[in-house]
Amino acid sequence: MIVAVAGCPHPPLLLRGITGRAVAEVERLQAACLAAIGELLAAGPDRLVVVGGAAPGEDDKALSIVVGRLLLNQAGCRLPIEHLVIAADSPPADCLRVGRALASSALAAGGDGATGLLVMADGSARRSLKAPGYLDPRAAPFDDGVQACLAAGRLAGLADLDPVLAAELLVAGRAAWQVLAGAVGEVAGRTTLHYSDDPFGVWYPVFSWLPAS
Amino acid sequence: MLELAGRSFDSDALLIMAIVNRTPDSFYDRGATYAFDKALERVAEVVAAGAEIVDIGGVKAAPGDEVDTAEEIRRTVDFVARVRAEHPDLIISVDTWRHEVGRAVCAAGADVLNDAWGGYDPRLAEVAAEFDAALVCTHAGGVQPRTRPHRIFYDDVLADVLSRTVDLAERAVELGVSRHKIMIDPGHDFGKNTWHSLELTRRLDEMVATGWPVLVSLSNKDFVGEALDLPLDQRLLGTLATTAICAWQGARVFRAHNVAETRQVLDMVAAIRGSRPPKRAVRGLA
Repeated sequence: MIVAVAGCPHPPLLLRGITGRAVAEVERLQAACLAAIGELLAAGPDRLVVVGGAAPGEDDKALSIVVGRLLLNQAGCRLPIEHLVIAADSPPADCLRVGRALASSALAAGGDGATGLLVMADGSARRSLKAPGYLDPRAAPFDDGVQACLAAGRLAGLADLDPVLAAELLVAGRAAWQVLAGAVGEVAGRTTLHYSDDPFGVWYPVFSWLPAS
Repeated sequence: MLELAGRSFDSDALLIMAIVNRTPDSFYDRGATYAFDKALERVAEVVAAGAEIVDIGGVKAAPGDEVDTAEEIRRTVDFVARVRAEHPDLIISVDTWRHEVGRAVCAAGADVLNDAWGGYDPRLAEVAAEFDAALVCTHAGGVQPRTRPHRIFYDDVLADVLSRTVDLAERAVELGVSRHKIMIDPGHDFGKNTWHSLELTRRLDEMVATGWPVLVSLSNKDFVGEALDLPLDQRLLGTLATTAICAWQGARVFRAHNVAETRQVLDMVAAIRGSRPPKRAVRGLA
């Protein structure tokens, strides 16, 4: 079963050394990611799956997976790490199906099947005039909707995210969130939001989620 | 490797030697820091602006009022002692050609003797050896101190620069100066017209290739002024352009009046070269 979930964004800024000298905003974000992953690991999973979207042609070298692996490494994770890469433009139904299959594999793994998910996803890159994609007034409401699902612990709600709008808003996390929705389904849980900010005009949500037992 | 005041600097380090004149008549500052307290304020300012070294001078380079050895000592020695006391980690250089002055300032705490007149007094290198001080070996074309170049010609200015500075450096090593404490300086405008200074700037990499750390003293000099036909107070941009060109070719120490601006140029060169990361790279990476 899925024993815990952590969610982190995957900006290149989290790659080691890429900011030159340390940048305070990035350090705060990274610390939040490590805290969320700390909770994921504390739930005692036997296996870890990193779920991330991939741009066309990215596959296993997808930025989302690279950043996810790096964060796990930095958090001291010693478990074997599996990848689940989903094309970032996959239709919601495909994402949900992949998520359900992931949940089944977690069940099928039997006694050692305590699975932890690290879902790499971030929100709109169009949240301000200086944002990478310039300001789109629809960005904040879209991200607020995601945050409401996360905060309520009702991850199934992520299944309803509009893929067309998400693409227009440069949301890099939509497909991965919908895999998560498929994997967790209607299981209720409790979310801790470790970070929610947009220091560079891109929304970065960091959370951990534990199923209500 | 370059060793100054007990610290080691690798070839990526770009150091600023800030000019601090205890003179009433130097060409750029025109006596602004002649007074003891003004000079001391200047030291604090240049340290805050990012200079690793101060170069204290008691005699202007150009011809002018006679400054004898006693007067040069009066201007420099107590001041060096005070700077040493106030800035224990600062690298202190003194710009002098006289060995008597060299001995007195080393005893007062100087770390570097900047022999800007090309070994005119051969005993200055002996003093550097005696005090285990560093030494700048400069090309001045064999002229007398405090003279202007007049109808000086070279078959090949850089060949002359190389042979004289390397000979001075090797001689200093023979006298006992540590090999890691010697810098060579092409001596822009010293015994050279503007064409000469421009050529040796253009070919500075040949000097770097000797392996001796290269110091350049470019700041607001006449070759910059003549290259751009600009008066003294408008030579900063030309100086900084020259600084970047020299740094790119491998010069390691930069004697300068305008420390904050020079620091920015050197940091930028280091960032381009890849020896120093950007301070904050986030654009396009969010």
